[in-house]
Amino acid sequence: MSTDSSRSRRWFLGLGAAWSAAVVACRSRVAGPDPSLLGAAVSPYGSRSRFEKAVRHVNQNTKVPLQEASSRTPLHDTYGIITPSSLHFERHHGGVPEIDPATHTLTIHGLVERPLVFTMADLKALPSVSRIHFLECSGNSGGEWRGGSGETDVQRIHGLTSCSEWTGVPVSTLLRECGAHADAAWVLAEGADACKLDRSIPMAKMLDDAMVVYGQNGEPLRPEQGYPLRLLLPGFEGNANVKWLRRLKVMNQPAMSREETSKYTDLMPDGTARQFTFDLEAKSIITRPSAGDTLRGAGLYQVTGIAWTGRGSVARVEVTTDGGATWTEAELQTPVLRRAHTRFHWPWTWDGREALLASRCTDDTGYTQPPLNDLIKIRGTNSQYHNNGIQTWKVAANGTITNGNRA
Amino acid sequence: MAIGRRRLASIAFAGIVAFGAVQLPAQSPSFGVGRAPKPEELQAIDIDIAPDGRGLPPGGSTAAAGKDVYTRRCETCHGPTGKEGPQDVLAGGQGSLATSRPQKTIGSYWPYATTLWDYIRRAMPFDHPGTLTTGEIYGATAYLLFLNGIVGERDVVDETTLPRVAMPNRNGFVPDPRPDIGRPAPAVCERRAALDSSRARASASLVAAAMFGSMATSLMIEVPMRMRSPSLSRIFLTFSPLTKVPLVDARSWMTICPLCVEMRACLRETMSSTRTMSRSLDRPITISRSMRSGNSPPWYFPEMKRSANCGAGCGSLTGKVPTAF
Repeated sequence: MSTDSSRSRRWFLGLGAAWSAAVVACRSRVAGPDPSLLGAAVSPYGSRSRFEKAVRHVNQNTKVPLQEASSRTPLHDTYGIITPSSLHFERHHGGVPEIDPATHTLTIHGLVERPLVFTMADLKALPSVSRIHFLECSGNSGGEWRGGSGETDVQRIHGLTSCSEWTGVPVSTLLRECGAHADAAWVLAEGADACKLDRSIPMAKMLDDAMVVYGQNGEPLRPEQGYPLRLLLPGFEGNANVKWLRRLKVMNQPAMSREETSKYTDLMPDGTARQFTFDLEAKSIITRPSAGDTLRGAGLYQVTGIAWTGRGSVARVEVTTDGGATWTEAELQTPVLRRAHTRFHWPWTWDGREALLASRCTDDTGYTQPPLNDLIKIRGTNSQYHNNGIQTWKVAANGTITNGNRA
Repeated sequence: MAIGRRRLASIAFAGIVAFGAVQLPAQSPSFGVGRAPKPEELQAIDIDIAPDGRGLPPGGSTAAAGKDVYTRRCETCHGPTGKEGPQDVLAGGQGSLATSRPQKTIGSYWPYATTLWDYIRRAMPFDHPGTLTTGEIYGATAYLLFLNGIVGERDVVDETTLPRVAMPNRNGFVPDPRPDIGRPAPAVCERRAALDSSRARASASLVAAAMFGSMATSLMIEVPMRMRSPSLSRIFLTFSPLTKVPLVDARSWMTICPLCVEMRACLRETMSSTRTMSRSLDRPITISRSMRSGNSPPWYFPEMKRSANCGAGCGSLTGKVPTAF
């Protein structure tokens, strides 16, 4: 409720010039700033305008402790491709630890010539890189697996993805410092949180583009994102990007930790489960207009949303208004970055009739985001994770928009 | 694995080459940061237990002895027999994985008993992890295996027996086969069925489903020659590939009348345009679509209402799939 009412719906008003002019005129008469008054003084740490209300959505109606829960990014109210750090989605497994960076260390051991302990100062002394990458929880959009849900907006359905600029050290640099054995196939990553969350990561990924990061959007990581240090595996499912990283152990075999056996595995209709399903496949969602919005009658609307793929970069996004019968290519905001959110735009002249609005993404491997029903046909309804199916918004003739995934 | 085999091979090759290149500098670190960990430092954090038992400390217990620690430290969250919750259900569920209500428990799902020991020490109890003794961890592990019918009440679970415990779902996991869905074969596949005029009414989507399962993306209804007119010879419906709702009036049941003699469902490349689909179906005269353009959804055709208006001879709506299909 609070999220609904806090949504900025004023963007609709900007569409009709006369209407918006009228609104501006009206506003300035009633509540405009008094030009004779001084504004606020400079301040040491900025905060947003008190008029902006978008917040992460926390589902309080759950038996799961909130230390082991998630909060979702208000995708409807974010612009461009960078998610503000304060609105980055969360998923914790043992709460957010409070870690003093002066005492935090990263230990690399196992099949290495030289086990090493790095302090945060050590890591910051190494050559660093900054890259823009998305993160997505593998359980994002999981509520739709049973053929669509009654979820009411894009934040609740798809809010477990965000995108930031990350700064840190390539893992390959650290493995070289330690003299990791060439035949080692896996690296166990472990956090310093209460549950010591651990995941086994293929060495190939560690040598490719994995980083240990201490910076997010120009400042140190937020505690919820792993302060002071986290693993970043571009394009891999969220929980493998271990937060509050304290240890990397080079190994021959995966550790078969609880998270990679009993939890983040995808149950198939035949009762088998897929394991080590790291890649997040091509996906896109229209964030505006989306469920919860109301269109104010026929006319021109700017459809916008985000697309991403864990396998490379977004090659194409298409939009449909007729439930997938016909598709039109949307415009991609440049630069289109590898394993990053990609913003798309598409102008839509709505004729005032019922419509089924959706987007689909094709990545540079040639893979196209499938309809949800096609995924369900192969994976059944119990796989829980990795839903990258097409999201349909149902636009009613009166302009109200609802989740259209359920037929 | 998540990465294609060929690509993995090339990465592995690149890795070997890279390591070959860094083996020399590896003997003299290129940046010289970091220090060697003290043995006790490593021991404190090197806590992972391998499936073969490496890492397990000496110790052991039985389910009979472990019941006490379970009752004191685990039962509040997991229930008296591990099945009651409110948090994760730990026991039961064997044989449920391939059903519509799978229960993923230790007994039905976990592939390694060592993972259980590792996780209890690592993270349990949820609000006080790290407070169980080694003996208590062996005891809780044994009791949970006992609750799942995997070990006996008096079986000793220790650092040598635990890795040998045969977990029921040990072979239940497969590597990642994705991408498991791609562009379906572009070939058009059609099926025809005679319409049983005695059961002439059905939901168009149900009829299509009966012919093709949920794969049907379009449905064509042939009108008998004698009933044809320039504006009505075939009724052609397209289903939304996303929702499987026919792109006519989404909420009402499409009525198929006795004047229709044959139905053709079309299975083809997902989400093709209606235009391509029409071509693939022997150029049927589609009543509609061509008059409209732009972004308008192609439903609410007045002609469709006409075709649905079948007059005398129609039975009542049954909502059932005609058995003739």
